Amino acid sequence: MATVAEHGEHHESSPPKGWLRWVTTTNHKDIGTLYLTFALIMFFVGGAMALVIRAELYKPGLQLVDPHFFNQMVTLHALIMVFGAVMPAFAGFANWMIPPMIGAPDMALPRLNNWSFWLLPFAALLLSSTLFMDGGAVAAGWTLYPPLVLQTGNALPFTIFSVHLLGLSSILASINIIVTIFNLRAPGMTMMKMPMFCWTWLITAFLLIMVMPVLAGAVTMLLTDKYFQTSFFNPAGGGDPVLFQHLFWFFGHPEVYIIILPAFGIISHVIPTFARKPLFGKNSMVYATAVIGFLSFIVWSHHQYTVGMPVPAELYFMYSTMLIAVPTGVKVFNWLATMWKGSLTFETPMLNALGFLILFVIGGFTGIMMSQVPADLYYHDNYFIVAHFHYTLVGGGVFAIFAGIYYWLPKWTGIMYDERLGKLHFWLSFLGFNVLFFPQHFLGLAGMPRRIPDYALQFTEFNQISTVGAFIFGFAQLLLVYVVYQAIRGVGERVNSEVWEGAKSHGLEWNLPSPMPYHHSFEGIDIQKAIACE
Amino acid sequence: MIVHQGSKFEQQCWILLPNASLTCHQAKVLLGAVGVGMALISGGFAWAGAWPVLPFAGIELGLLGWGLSWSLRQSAGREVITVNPVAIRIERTANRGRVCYEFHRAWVRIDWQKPKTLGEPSRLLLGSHGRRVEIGAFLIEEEKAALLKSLRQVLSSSS
Amino acid sequence: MSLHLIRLLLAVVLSLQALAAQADYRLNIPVGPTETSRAIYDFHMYAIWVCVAIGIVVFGVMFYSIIHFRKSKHPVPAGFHENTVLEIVWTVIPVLILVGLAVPATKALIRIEDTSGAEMTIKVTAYQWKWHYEYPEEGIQFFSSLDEASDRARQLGSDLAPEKVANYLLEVDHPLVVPINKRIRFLITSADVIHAWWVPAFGWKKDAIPGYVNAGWVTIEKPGIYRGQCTELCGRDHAYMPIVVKAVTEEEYKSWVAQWKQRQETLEE
Repeated sequence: MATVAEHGEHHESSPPKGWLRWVTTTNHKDIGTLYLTFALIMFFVGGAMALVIRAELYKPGLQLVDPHFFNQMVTLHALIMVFGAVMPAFAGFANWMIPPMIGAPDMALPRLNNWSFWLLPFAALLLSSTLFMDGGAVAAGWTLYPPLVLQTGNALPFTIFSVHLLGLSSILASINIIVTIFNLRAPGMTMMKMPMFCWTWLITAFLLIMVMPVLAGAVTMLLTDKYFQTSFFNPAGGGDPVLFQHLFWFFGHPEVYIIILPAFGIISHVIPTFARKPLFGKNSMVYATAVIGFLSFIVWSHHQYTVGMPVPAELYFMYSTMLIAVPTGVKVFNWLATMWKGSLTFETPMLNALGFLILFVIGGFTGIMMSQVPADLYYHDNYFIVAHFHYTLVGGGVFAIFAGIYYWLPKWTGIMYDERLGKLHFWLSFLGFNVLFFPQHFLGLAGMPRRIPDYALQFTEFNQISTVGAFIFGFAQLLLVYVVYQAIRGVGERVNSEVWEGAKSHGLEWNLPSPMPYHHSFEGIDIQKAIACE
Repeated sequence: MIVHQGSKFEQQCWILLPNASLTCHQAKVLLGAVGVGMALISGGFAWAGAWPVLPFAGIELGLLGWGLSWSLRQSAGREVITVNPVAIRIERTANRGRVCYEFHRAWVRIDWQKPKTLGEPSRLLLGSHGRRVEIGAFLIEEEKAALLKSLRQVLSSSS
Repeated sequence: MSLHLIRLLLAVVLSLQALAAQADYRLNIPVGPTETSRAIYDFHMYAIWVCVAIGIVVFGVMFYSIIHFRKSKHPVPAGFHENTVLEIVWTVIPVLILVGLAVPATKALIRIEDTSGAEMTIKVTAYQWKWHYEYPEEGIQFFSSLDEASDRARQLGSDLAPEKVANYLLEVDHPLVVPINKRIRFLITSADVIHAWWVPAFGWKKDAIPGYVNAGWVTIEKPGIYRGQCTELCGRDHAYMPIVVKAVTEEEYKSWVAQWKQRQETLEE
């Protein structure tokens, strides 16, 4: 066959240059870079929305924005941060690190990989464009509860379509990761030998493909309820608005673990490297991750303690939720045991990992408190929960992303970033974060509901502190951009393949040259003649 | 993976295999397990009145199946490089499809084309007289380096 | 770098002090005038102390490692990476701690959710963005919405500063008046979207969901005015539908009912 010869023989053609290279790339490293860049941009977009929120909350009364616009900001901030910033960032790490960690040349489905990334910018644009539509963007919170969400104007179908696209993107990425990890491990790389980061992502990918159809179904039902006269959630037509909450949280609870599990993975690499000791209890870490993944499917209604469930249901969800503390505790104790009698140094990745540990443990404590129904009847939907999930998702997720960036950036670029600025970035972020979110615990306990643009006078002080912290945290991120940009430009010291002292014993990737060489996929092989699996 | 079979009847042979850690049977078990999980979840919600979850679960399961089978087909391929006293022969197999290239041993050159800029793949090129074939495209960098070393050793040793 | 940090810290501390001057804030959940509120408060404090105890151990180990096992002090790392006994211990201990939390939580929850034996009932219906209260036994019903002064001060670019308004955003035109020492059952529902009825002093909150009737109860032990807000995002004016409950003695309540009925009659004529 003619095409065979064409495929096989090498042409002196180089890949497209300039922007076209980024559009057409199937290289896992390019796609990883795209994901991370996109995540960074969205982090700033979502962050700007957060600053609008915090600025409005600086004083009681309305100074800057209309309440309806405030609600749109609250909604889009969450959607963009969850689907646009944190998840793509972890997908970026997965693309960069999973193939070298398991000894594969690339992801298993390179073209799909390209596609799963390029869905994201369009989805994000579509989502942002709803702000300019008649009636504004969705203003019902990221939970999209009906009937309120059905009062949205023209933005609703566009928002739902972009949620579909974002979901599709993460499904494709998950399928790719599952197939890569199962099929492209190098000989000798057994499942139990696999590094933690791959394990956590594998479990995350399973969570994603299990729950995404539920979200897709739920938002589609919103659409048909609004435009096609169905009554899935409309009580007047025999529907049930609480059903949507069950659907949403069946997706939404695993979703928060989807965000935190890869973070656990990164931390499980960073801490051993800088403690110069192997990870303590690797096998129990794997089991704990799997148990967390499983439990995440059976606890969803702890987000709905106040909807009027029967007491036995409340008790069931309370007990199952409390159980999550056990495997999570195992992970924390294992990290501590890894540090114990190690030989610790505190480079920026380690600082961020310790920051993660401190903040995540605090978030875990408030989590245990909120799992208790009687107390949660008070905490529910007030600022206590806002503080809690920011401690876990920002303190946990985002600080782990910082740790991962500083940890692997020298490996990716071959250049050591500016350690002094990196540390400054950490300290400003850590300080800003705590000034921003710690007072919100007090606001919640004092009785301030969440998602309000304006508040009673007794909440003023802590809101002002919180806003100051928000601006410190937000502007500190410009430093991150600068540090990363300098390293990409090649400003800084060249590093050897090991980068961090003794890192070679902590992962295959540290045996590769820095910057990591580019592999490429199976393009040399004739795929047309291949037969189906039988 | 590279399997080097030493000289047999003055012939040296390398078999290059892409990573393939999943068997067909395992893939089916995996797909089945995911399918059962999804059926339980979406079936449960359909029973509660939210049947639109079902088609999405079905589409997703189909996508996963497609991804698995595509990857399995990819990793079923192989390349066999044979060097005898006169010729070097590259035999590329992807299940039923087979292509062969032959070069004169005395003239053959192997190039290790490093990436010119960040982003270009490094390639192992083998050929002569302007006709060149890429070998071991599915190998990782260390394997390419090892293959290059081993091939060069054999080619320079005799004749 | 340290200089930057010190300056920054200084700035934050100074601004904190400036803020504390006008303080009327609270740090913890209030102990209200009801049994439920006390139960929730006690449980909350118990959970906090459990967390503090665990926190001392966890952070103690962490900071001990950070201080004593830094490379300059402990240059040769140990090589251990497994200890089955230890791993079992730190799986079992958290389970025991959780059981210690779950038992009182279960007891408290069963008491809180027991809405039987009510001596009077009040129907609460949420609207965008006001509350409707109905006393079925008395035949009284009315809407309760944000008071005028707050409503004026809350407008974008208002000439009235919120600081000038008494109980800004926590005042209504018609408060809910209830007698003390009576077991009152609230039946909570909604006419449009989902809201939630919450008075922090009573502890619990319940969602007001169209098509559902949720129940909650209080027995208020002290007369007073208790304020709360809607706590489920319900649209544009979610922040502007406060709840004010005025708890009075039985006699005062009776005279309020009589007054209200008289007013209703005159209005009807």
